[in-house]
Amino acid sequence: MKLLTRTTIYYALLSVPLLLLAGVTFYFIITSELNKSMDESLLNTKNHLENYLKTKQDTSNYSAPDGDSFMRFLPGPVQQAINFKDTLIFNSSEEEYLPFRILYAEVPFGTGHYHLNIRKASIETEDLIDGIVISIFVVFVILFIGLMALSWWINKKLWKPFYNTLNFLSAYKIGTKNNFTFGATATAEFNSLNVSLDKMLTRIGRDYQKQKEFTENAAHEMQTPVAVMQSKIDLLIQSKNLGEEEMHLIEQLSSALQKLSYLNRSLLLLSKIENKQFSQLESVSVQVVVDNSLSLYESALTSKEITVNKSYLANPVTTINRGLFEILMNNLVQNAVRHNVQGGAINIEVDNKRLVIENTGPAIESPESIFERFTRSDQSIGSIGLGLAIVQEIVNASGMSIDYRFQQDKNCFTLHFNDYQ
Amino acid sequence: MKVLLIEDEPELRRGILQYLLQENYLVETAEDFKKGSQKTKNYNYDCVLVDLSLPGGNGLDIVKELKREKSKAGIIIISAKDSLDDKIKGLELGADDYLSKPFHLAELNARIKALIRRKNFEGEQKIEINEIRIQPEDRRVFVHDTEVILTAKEFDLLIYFVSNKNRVVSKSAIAEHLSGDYADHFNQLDFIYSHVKNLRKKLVEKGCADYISTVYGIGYNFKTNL
Repeated sequence: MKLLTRTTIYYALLSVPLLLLAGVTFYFIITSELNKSMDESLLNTKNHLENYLKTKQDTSNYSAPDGDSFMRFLPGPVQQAINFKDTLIFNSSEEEYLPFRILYAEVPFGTGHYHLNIRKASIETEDLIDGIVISIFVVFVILFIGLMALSWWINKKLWKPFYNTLNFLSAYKIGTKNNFTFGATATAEFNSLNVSLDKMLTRIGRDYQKQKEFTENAAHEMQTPVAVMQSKIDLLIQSKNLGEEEMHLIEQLSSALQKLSYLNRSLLLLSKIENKQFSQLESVSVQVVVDNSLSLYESALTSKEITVNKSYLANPVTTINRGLFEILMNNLVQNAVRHNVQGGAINIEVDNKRLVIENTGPAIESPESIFERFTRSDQSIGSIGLGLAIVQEIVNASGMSIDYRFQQDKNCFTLHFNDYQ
Repeated sequence: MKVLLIEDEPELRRGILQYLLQENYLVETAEDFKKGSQKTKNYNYDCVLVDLSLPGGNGLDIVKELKREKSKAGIIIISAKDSLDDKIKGLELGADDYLSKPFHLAELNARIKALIRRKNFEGEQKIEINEIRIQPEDRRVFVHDTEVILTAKEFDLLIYFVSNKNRVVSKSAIAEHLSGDYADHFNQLDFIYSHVKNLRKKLVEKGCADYISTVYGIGYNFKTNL
C-alpha cells in the first residue's frame, strides 16, 4: 500500500472518533442553547401573563387561545419558586408523544395565588440527532474527499523527488555506468537522502570495481607460477629414474594443477566478460558453432552412448563475439553431456529466435542457483562449477537471455537470441 | 634450427629451454624487451617465441618489427594475457600461433614443429618415421605405403605423439591438445585411453611396430627406436 494511501486512511480513521465526539458535543451545546432560548421565551410569556393578571379582577381560570399557557387560581400562599421541566405530551393528531418544555410558576393574587403552566413544543431529540448525524456525515465526506485530493497533490508535488530517487534505485545495477544525478529538491530530507545515496553508491561502485580488478589481477598473476609448475612437471616426467610411486604422485600433482589452471582461466574469463573486454562483434552462424561444439565432445558422447537429435528449423545468424559464443555453446553442450545418463539423449532445436538444448538426466536440486558460481551437483566430480556461470555472464554481456526448466524428465535450457537481429 | 625465446620469467625460460634443447634446436634466450628486440634485429631465427608482457615493452611490437623487416621467422606468442582480443591482434600482426600460459611443453613443442613444417616445406610437408608416413596437408597416414584410415582425433593424436617422439607426454597434455582452449577437459581424460587404444590397433593392423608405450599413471611415450 502506498505511503499516502496509508496516511489518508489513518487520517480518515482518526476523523471518525473526532467527528463522533464533535457530534455529541454539538448535541449538548445545541440542546442547552435551545433550552436557554426556550426558557427566555417561556419567561417572556410568564411576564405577559403577570401583566395580564394585574388587569384581571376575578379568580377564574385562564387558558390562552393557543392552548400553550394555562393558569388556575389556588387558595393559599405561594409555595413554589419558578421551575422548568421537560416532558412528553401525547399529541392525538400525530398520535405520538412530543417533547415539551414547561414553565411552572406561582404568582400571588388576592388571598391565594395563580398557578402558571406555560408550555412550548421543543425540537424532537431524534430530529436533532438526525440533523447532527447528517451534517457530521457530510463534513466527513467532504473531509475525506479533501484528504484524497490533498494527498494526490502531495503525491504529485511534494513526493516527486522521492519517487524519482526510488525509480532510479530500482533500476540501479551495480557495475553499470549511470549518468543519473540526484537533483536538488526543495525538501531538506530528500536532499540529504539523495546526498547519502549518492555517496553510498559511489563508494559501492568503487569497491565493486576494485574487487573486480583484484579478481582479474589475482587470476592473471597466478598464470605465471602455474605455467612454471606445469613446465617443471613436464620436464620431471621425462626423467628415467621415476618409480611407479613417484609417477603416481606426479600424476596427482599434475591433475590438481590442471584443475587450478582451468579454474584460474575460468575466473579470468569471467572477469574479462564482466569488464566487457570482448567488444569485437561479428555475424556468427549458430548452426556452425553448435556443430563444432558437438564435435568437441564427440568422444564423451560416444562413450556415454548419447543420442544427439538436432533439428534446425532455421539457420539464424547472430551478431556476437565469436569466441564468447563458442565458449557459451561448448559449456552448454558440456553441461548436457556431463549431467546425462548412460544411453541418454541430447535434443537441440534451433529457430530464428531461440536455441533449446535439453538432456536426459536427473533434475537439478536447486534450479534457482543453477547459474551461480561454484554451484555444482555432487555426482560430477570433474566439474568446478563455473561452466554455467560463464554461460550466464556471456548471455548477459551479449544482450541475450537464458532460462532453465525441468520438463518431461529432461533438463532444458532455452537461449533467446538478442532482439536486434 | 635456431629458436629465440623471449620470456621474462626465469624459471619458465629455463623449463622451455631445457625441453627444446632436447630437440637439438639451437635456442637463444632474451629476458626483456630490449634484448629480445636487439637479437631479432641482429640475427636470423627460424622461430621466435615471444611473451607479450615484457619488462620494457610489449611483445607485440617485436612481432611488428619482425614483420616490417620481412623476417622469415615463424612467430609464436606465448602469453599469460589470455585474452581473445590479444590473440586476434597478435595473429593479425602476423604471428603464426598463440599459446596462452599455462601450457604444456609438449604442446609448445608440437606447435613449433607444425610451424616449421609449414614454413620449410611449402606445400610439400611430409613426416616420415620409420615405416610411417604422414601427410599433414591432406591429413592422410600411410604405413608401409598402405593408407591407415584415422578419425580426426586419432590423426591429431598421432601428429602430437610424433612431434613429441621419445618423450613422455601426460594425459592432461593430450586432453588439452585435443579439446582446445576453455574446454573443461577433466572428463576427457577417460577418452584419451580409448583414442590411444584405437590408434595403436589401427597402426599395428597395417604392420606398424607398436611404438606407443604406456607410462604408468602419467601418459604415453612414442618411442621410435624400439
